[in-house]
Amino acid sequence: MPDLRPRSRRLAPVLILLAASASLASFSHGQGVPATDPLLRLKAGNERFVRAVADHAPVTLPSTPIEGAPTATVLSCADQRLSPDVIFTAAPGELFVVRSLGEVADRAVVASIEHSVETEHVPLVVVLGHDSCAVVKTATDSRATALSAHIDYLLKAIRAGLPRSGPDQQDVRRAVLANVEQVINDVLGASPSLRTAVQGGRLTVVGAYFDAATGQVVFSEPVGLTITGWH
Amino acid sequence: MSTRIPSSSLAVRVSLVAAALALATLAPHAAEPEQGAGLARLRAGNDRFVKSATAPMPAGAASRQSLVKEQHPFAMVLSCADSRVPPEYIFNTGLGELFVVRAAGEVVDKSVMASLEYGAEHLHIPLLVVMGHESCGAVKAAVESEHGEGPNLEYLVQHIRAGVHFNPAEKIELRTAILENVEEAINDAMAGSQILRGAASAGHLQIVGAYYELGSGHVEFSEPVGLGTHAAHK
Repeated sequence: MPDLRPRSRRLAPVLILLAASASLASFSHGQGVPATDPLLRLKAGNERFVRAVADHAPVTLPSTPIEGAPTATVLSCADQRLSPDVIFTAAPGELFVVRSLGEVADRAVVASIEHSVETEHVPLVVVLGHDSCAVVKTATDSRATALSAHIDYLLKAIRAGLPRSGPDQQDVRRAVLANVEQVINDVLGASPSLRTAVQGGRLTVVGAYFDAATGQVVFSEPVGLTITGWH
Repeated sequence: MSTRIPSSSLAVRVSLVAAALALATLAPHAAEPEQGAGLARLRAGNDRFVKSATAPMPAGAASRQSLVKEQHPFAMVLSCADSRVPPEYIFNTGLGELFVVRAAGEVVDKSVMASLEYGAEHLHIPLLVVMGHESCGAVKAAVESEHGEGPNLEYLVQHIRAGVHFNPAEKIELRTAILENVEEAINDAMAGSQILRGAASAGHLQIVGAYYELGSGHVEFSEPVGLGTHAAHK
């Protein structure tokens, strides 16, 4: 595998190409995802949540904290309709959770994820988008303007990952998936230590998508750092 | 944010108010202002959590219906990314009730700030809780380590240190540092955002600090942070 340490500005475009091929094409109900334990654990936890939703039952959440380090880090939207802990029916201590609107990664977000991987040795990072994401929807409207410099930053970060044109431009699901990819690229692009962890096999990074109507989460293939070509 | 807040009169004022409140009065108190419905709900939820951490969350179909539709959360919580402190559990809330922003050490950076602004301005959320927690690893690292590993962690360390009067020669009690860091996050949010200041001074947004005790499950709240009047502090 080629050395991917950041020595040129070409790294970011390379990552974009790879993440795009990995996640957009293969968002599915978990088929083809290698059976890494932390991911299976998340899937099993989400299945419990989905069953509760289907059965019209309250969700019983584990209350006993797990021993040891968290099993996964989740970066998700701040939206009130989801909670990573709840939708994965996780026990306290199980998930390191970073949340910002549109799961946009500023430096503190990247540093938080690094902290989980470097200090707590978390082996899995999930970037989780969700259906009907209001801020992504706003970003798809090119006429929408921001009320402040911070919200402008957020909209620009999301717009950077959106498809430029085409009939699907207003398709919110597609925009959310594109944003998940963009965030993965932003996080890995900004963090040499996370790239090294992925390259060294210590860390798996996947994209994911939550559907509020069914409660179900679907996952992408793990994001790879293998270079497929130079441009 | 990469820059410290300039010492505008507001920032200083908020700083003083928050300092007095968070350090001196992080304690349960009975008197709530008229806006306190959300806070009372959080207290009640936390009481349920403390008494019976297993209380099932109402995420069944009845509430699912309302989730798919537009719904307005009654509070936003800015808290740490630590795996032991999920706000939805601690406050025993169902989905749809809390807008939750989380970063290690509840550090206020650009996305966090934008998220809080969006919550106040677009979702009209009337309450912001900035919550630190016992044994916070991010704050501990900031007050104990010399440097963060790599530029991003160093950024986090510096950001936290800026609020906790870090002095390598002097050992600071971790709880004190965590409370100071909560204050700093509130000050950063208020000083850096006209939207949040405007909502707070118009009475549309109440802001409180909080401290979560891992052992007991109990959350202590500060008095609501006041902005005072502009005339009073010139």
